[in-house]
Amino acid sequence: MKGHPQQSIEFLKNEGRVNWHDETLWWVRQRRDNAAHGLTEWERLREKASEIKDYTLSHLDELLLNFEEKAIQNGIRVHWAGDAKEHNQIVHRILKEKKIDFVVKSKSMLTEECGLNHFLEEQGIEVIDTDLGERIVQWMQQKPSHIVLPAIHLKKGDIGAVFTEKLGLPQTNDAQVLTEAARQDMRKYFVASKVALTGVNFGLAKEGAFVVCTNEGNADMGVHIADVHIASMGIEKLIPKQEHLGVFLRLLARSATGQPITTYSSHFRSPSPGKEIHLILVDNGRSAILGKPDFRSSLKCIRCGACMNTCPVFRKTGGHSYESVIPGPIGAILSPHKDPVRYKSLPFASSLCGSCTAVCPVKIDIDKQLYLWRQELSKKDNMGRAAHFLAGEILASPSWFNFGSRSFYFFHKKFPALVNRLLKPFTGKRPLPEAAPQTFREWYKKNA
Amino acid sequence: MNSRKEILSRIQKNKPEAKAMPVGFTGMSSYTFNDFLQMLEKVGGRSVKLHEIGDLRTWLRQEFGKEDLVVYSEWGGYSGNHSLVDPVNVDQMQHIDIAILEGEFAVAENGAIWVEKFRHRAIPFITQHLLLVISQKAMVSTMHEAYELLKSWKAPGFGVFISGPSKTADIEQSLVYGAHGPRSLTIVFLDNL
Ligand code: SF4
Repeated sequence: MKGHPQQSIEFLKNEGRVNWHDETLWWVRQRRDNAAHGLTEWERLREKASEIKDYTLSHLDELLLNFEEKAIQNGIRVHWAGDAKEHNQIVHRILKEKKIDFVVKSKSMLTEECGLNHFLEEQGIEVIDTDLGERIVQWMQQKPSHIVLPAIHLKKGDIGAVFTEKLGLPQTNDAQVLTEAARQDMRKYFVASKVALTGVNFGLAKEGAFVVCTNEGNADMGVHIADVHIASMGIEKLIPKQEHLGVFLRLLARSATGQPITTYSSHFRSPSPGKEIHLILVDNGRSAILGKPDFRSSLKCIRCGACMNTCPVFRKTGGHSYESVIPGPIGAILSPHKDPVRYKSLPFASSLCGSCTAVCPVKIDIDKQLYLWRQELSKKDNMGRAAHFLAGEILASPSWFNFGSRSFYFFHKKFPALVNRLLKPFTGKRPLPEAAPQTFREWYKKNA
Repeated sequence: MNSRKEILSRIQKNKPEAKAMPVGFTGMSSYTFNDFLQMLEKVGGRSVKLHEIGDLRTWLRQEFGKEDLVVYSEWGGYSGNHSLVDPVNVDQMQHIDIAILEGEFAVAENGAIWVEKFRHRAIPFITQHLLLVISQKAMVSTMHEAYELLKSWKAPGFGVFISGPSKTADIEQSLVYGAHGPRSLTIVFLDNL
């Protein structure tokens, strides 16, 4: 594992692309702002969503039991998976029973988390990702770089090239033509598929039903044509009852892309006659996070991606730099629970500006958790402690700060190349600007 | 079965102190028919009033510009030229150009229509173009009211809010209609208010 600063260097090599990524996500963030400002009750909705999720977490066992009971009554087959491996085995068992060699799958961060595609491919079952962005990254043998916009790190030229390679389409940058080609190609799989996989956006405890949201209609194309629908759901995706969707569906798409609602909000309660719905409830570390009072609110996440779009570090370094399934601010506080060594650099991939917390529709205190993780990880890590000392002690003491900044100023002025080389892991390709003729303090003393 | 027990017992051990169920959401903005029309346009859909377009058959031919359109209708006011026979399979559905279905009610704040009646659940997605027929009076202001209505949702096991035609912006954020589902969505309003 190289860690976030090293990984970012790759991304930062192409300055034009970095700027495009930055500006595009900022534009999505602005669309979110416009949609949010259009609702006078926006802040009260966030408050309510947060309360409902807090209630859910504090009653999660009872609500899951109720959900299971009702879902079974509705004819849904419910499975429980303690970890990723068990989840994958359950899916595989169902597929083996049906004797099929490929499945269509709509976007599900949970199946990414479980490494399902890789697992099934090892068993000789092909997985066709049907979301256009996911299909593109799958073709390129990459991972999604964003949870809502999986191919946001790619440009039309890259995408055109992979369409030429995979579908024989003459190279084009026309999004309309590319989308049409993907549509025609994907229909072949949709009409032939027997089993379709989806994620779940919301499970409804009282009704034993669940909701899947998409814009492309790919989840619905898959599951309604196939005979078997397998839905993978993290146990934290539950809400107490259907009427609470009023709050969550008003928040989700507005936070994600600025749309008033996704094109399709599909409500599944029971299978069509003769068909099957399997629902897999997955823990995979969630119940452990529930036991950590400072961190449990991260389980309230509805995966809207707003914290990524607003994060200056994410926008400038790209999702792949995080090397975790969920990137960005929420990924930086979730991933270290899985592996604190592997993901130790992620809580430091933040300026702690708090913008993530300010936009989060369920009011997770992301910036606070980033800070707490830094403390926790620094205890384990000397490098972290040194950084912590530099940042914490020096900034807290005026005389140390003065000494520090004057020495830095001196070195930077005398040996700019050396300073730039030493700071490269932090500054990437961008050299520091030239040292000013005097420090701010000196200027202030003279001019104030 | 073991995992189920283990997960539940871990949750029981780890969950925070019980919180009270939050009271329902109140004090929402209200939205009008005109808000609906604006939102519908924003999400890429359009609407027509039946009494203004005259003969639907002629209108369809004009709008979709094809003589041999395959039109499948579940709305009593129009009979298409395509029918489905049980058991309905994908071969019978994949050549539908236009599906005409009835919507239950519209939501003014986001241009969505609740749809739950179809011979086969794939129809509203597999069709090239979708027409939803609905009464102008069947409109609620926000999603909260929508779910008030759906409290009595009993009959079929699947229902969907549809807001605009299928779309994607996965290629450099360029918006394209007709991703995997319908290329266009038209709401046909029934009464002359
Ligand atoms: S943490 Fe909040 S803002 Fe980030 S994806 Fe989750 S719900 Fe959205």
